[in-house]
Amino acid sequence: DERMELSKSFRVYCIILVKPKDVSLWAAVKETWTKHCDKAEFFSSENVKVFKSINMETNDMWLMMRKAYKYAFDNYRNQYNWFFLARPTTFAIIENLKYFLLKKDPSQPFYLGHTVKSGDLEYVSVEGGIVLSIESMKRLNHLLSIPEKCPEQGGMIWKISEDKQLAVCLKYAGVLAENAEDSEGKDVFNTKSVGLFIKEAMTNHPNLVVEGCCSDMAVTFNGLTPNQMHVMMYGVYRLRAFGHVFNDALVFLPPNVSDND
Amino acid sequence: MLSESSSFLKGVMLGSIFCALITILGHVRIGYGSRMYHHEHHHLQAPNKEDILKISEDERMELSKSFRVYCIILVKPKDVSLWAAVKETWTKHCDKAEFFSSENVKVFKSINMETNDMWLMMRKAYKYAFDNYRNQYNWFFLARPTTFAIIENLKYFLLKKDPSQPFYLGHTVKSGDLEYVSVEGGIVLSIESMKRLNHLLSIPEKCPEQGGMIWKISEDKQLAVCLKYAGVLAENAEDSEGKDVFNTKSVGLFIKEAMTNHPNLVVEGCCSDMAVTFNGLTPNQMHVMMYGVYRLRAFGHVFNDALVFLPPNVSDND
Repeated sequence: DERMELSKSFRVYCIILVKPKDVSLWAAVKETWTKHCDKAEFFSSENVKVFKSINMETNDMWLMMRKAYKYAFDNYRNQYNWFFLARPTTFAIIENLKYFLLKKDPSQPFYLGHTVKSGDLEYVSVEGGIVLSIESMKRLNHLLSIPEKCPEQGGMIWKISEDKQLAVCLKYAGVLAENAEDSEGKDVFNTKSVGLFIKEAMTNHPNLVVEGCCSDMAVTFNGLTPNQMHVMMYGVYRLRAFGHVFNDALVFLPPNVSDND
Repeated sequence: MLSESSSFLKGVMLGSIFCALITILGHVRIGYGSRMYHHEHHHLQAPNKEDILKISEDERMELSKSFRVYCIILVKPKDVSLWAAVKETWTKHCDKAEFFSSENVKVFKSINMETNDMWLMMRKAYKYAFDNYRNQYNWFFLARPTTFAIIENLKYFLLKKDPSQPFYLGHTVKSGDLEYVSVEGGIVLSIESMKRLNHLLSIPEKCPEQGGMIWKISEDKQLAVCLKYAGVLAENAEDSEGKDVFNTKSVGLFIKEAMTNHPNLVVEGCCSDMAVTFNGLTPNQMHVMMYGVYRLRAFGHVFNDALVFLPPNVSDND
């Protein structure tokens, strides 16, 4: 019973930042993994005829990100406890995200994903997807209105990428980036595709290609084509070795509209 | 008047007798023997879950252990990188897998068939397998190294099929009158079919080593011709929704076609959930498949399979 309660206590809101050039990926992502979010919304730089989205009215990724986080917080702060942001080149397995978050308290300031170190700053790479707990969202949104802490124009001479800018803001609020790993130390948020991992594994450690490759409970992969998104859906949710038992202790039922795929 | 109508009647009688005769003669089948039954197209289905759940827990355990699959992989030196990939990945899930090569290759252990001809390789491999393993395995799966197979799904598919019956399964193709299993999707033979095949292999008129006179006939067609003489017919393997479980294409290609042909139902329309084989993979893609099938999954996404097929120890449970 407690387990059932537990699995229902995770409410993940997905923010996907899109631009008109991403249209084919946008379509793929909309039809595939985002259906497994408790709610998913698309935030675009401008209105695009064929697709419903929330217009951020700016081409600047950092401004898009700020506005999207503000929108999400203002509208959904009471309904969701975890906020996952991604680009449409990313494929995510939301059940695995929930599994990963299992014993983490969302009232703590979590800021998770695939981290990268840049000088002194450790930040979560947007390409692997960014996870914020409701507490982090609260602190972030407070700072978004303070220009000295969280400026709209980050770098003076050249542009700083939006994921770094986010990390700088969050740091002011005492929220630090954490790299998400499984029990064997493998990254669960990935900025590369499975194919690329396997390719590298075959070069670097050919004796342990599959074992060495990636986490069994990977949450994200990046750099996929629309075709590959569908292949991932088929591979993750449908094709399997019958009777090959995993014995997962918890069940995460996807929302009704996902067709259970 | 009377004589004309009577000859007319005689004409009608004669005509109807002729018609009946021709119809009857048309039903007579010459040649293949009493066990040949007339089917347009054989479809064989996977078991459904309800049937399996009716079997007791213990019986199910026994059942899952009763499938012993021997895998024959026919390789040539040019296949070396695929050979390596296949050896490291899915073949570990066969109860036993052996590689039959056209010639000896230094780096890899194989059984040398000493011929470059695919049909001769196939015959010799089937003979070797039968002679050595007839008492140890009840199902024989043959594949090329471009094929990726999920042996657990093969066992699931064979669940209620009696190996003492002549089964010859896979992805079938019709060529004129002949329906044959395409080698690219993998060929499954029950022990009974192996028995009959091996008996015929020694009879040159039924199962010649040189199939076509003018041009070569592919080895999978030759196999079908041989088996037909023994009353063994090809059957297309499908899941409960009618989707092929043995595939001669890769997942990527299926998805690509689905995105063009039915873009509203790409994943649903693509392929069977319990697919046994895909073909046309690169070595890289073989490893990707292993990762995708045996490791990566949506945690807690329940499938509720009624039977467990434990892979052999050396497979590292991957």
